[in-house]
Amino acid sequence: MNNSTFILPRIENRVRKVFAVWRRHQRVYFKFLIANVLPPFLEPLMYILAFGVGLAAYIGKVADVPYAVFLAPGMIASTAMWSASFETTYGTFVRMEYEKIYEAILASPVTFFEMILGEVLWVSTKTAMFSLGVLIVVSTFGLVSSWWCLLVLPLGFLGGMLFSLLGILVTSQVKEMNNFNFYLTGVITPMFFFSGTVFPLHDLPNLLRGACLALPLTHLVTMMRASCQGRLEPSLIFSLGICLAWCAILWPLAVGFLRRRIVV
Amino acid sequence: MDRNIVIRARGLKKFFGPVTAVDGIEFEVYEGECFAMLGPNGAGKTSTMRMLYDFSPRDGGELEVFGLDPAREGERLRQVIGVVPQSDNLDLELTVRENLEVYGSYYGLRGDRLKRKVDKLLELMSLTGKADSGIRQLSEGMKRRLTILRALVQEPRLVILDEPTTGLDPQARHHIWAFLRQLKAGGTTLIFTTHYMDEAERLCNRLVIMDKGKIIEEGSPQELIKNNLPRLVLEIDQRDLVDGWQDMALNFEFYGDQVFFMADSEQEFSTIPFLSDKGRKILRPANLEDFFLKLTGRSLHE
Repeated sequence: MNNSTFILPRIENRVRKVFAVWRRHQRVYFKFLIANVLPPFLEPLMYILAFGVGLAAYIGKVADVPYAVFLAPGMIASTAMWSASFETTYGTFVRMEYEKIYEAILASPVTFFEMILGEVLWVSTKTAMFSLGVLIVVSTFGLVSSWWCLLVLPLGFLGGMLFSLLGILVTSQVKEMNNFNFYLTGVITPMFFFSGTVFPLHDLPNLLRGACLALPLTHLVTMMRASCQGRLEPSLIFSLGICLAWCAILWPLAVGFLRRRIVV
Repeated sequence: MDRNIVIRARGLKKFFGPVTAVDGIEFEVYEGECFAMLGPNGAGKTSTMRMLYDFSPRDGGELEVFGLDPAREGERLRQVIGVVPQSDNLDLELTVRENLEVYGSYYGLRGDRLKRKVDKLLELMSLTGKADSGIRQLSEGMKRRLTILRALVQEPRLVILDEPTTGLDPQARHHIWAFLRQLKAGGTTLIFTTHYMDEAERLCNRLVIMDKGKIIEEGSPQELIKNNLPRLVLEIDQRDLVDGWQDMALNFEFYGDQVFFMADSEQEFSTIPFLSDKGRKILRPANLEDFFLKLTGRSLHE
């Protein structure tokens, strides 16, 4: 057999294949841009209006800033969490079980690893764009006070990675689509409320506060809040480390368990 | 004759938990050949196909495709293998053209080269007019044609088709058969699974019949018919026969209310005790389906 038939899988070929998967998701996503993009922006906007404008009139400063200023970065971070979570639970499940997209991709030279990397990178890209979008919205309300706020773009990407890996790991274990309710209502919703998003963790009882500090969203919110308010402190390295550690632990689990689910 | 071997399986095995899906099968497929796998659902055909391009890991035995082990060289092999899965898994949100472009990008194709390639492919299956249609606007036959085209985007040397025409109308099936014959004439090796005997008889050079993970028959369609069946078959409705017809010397198979008598010459049928002359009688040459059904009665169970 002629050896030149086979293209050796060099590194640039791998990158190209990962990008091809990224681009596939991007193309599909842009087909329904309005339906895909509008709701994730409306939701944080409603929170800002209801709590940041409406409720804020009855409460004074929270953590030394007006409540709306406190709330805004929490909305950016939670939008990242929600969008990455929906995309890798319902979205990934539909691609896997109904559309059989992964089977199609795996019949090509794209490897399982490249396929998941392409997907995670796409979800992270999308999440970063959402974070930027919500940032622009809240800054029109004058809730952002520093150019460091642009850090929400890479932070949104990081959050997208973290929550897409968590979502993929959950999806690898879910047999029936309705079971995602357990994850979204049982894990993601509490994380939304107890990660310093809508109130500071500072005055919680120690035990509860410790539990909240273990949640990955807490650290994403901490970093986003610091960048929106221009208060960059060394302690943020700790939060960054925690988020990266979550990604490092989740990556092999997500890839491994989803492979076991799909490749039989 | 010295022919290049494209696929060689030896003692190939696949388990799903306690279930043995493929139970130590052996077969070869030669270059430029069209090879068919027949058998009831659950016989192990799809599992075998999936091991060829390293979608599924094998659990035992040896397997070589183009001289390479799929388990080690799957990524390189998939560069020269096209796969048409049992059910269409197209990107429903994208157009016909975009489906081919996206798939081509997985092979590293891009730019003008990819565009020209896609145009050429669309023409091959008369889908040029549908290039910008969404997948949901296509008929089942068109979807199938597109799925086949998608497998050809990188000009594969081996094409694996899992039930290529299941669920399609006769026109669509003939269209696809003609296309596959053309592909074969161009030197591409084909391996496919099917439930349709006529499909196997029309397309393949050689076939195997699988049941419960094992290969139970093997040969060319003509050989299998000639070696195992009389030349002619007469189909008759049982109600048109005089009671006691079962005691006749003639070979017969009994399916529902139909009796298939088999013999080498037409004269032998003259002894059949007809109740009336008006009944429906069909005299025809024995075919692969007769062989399959005969086997069904003997060793295949639903």
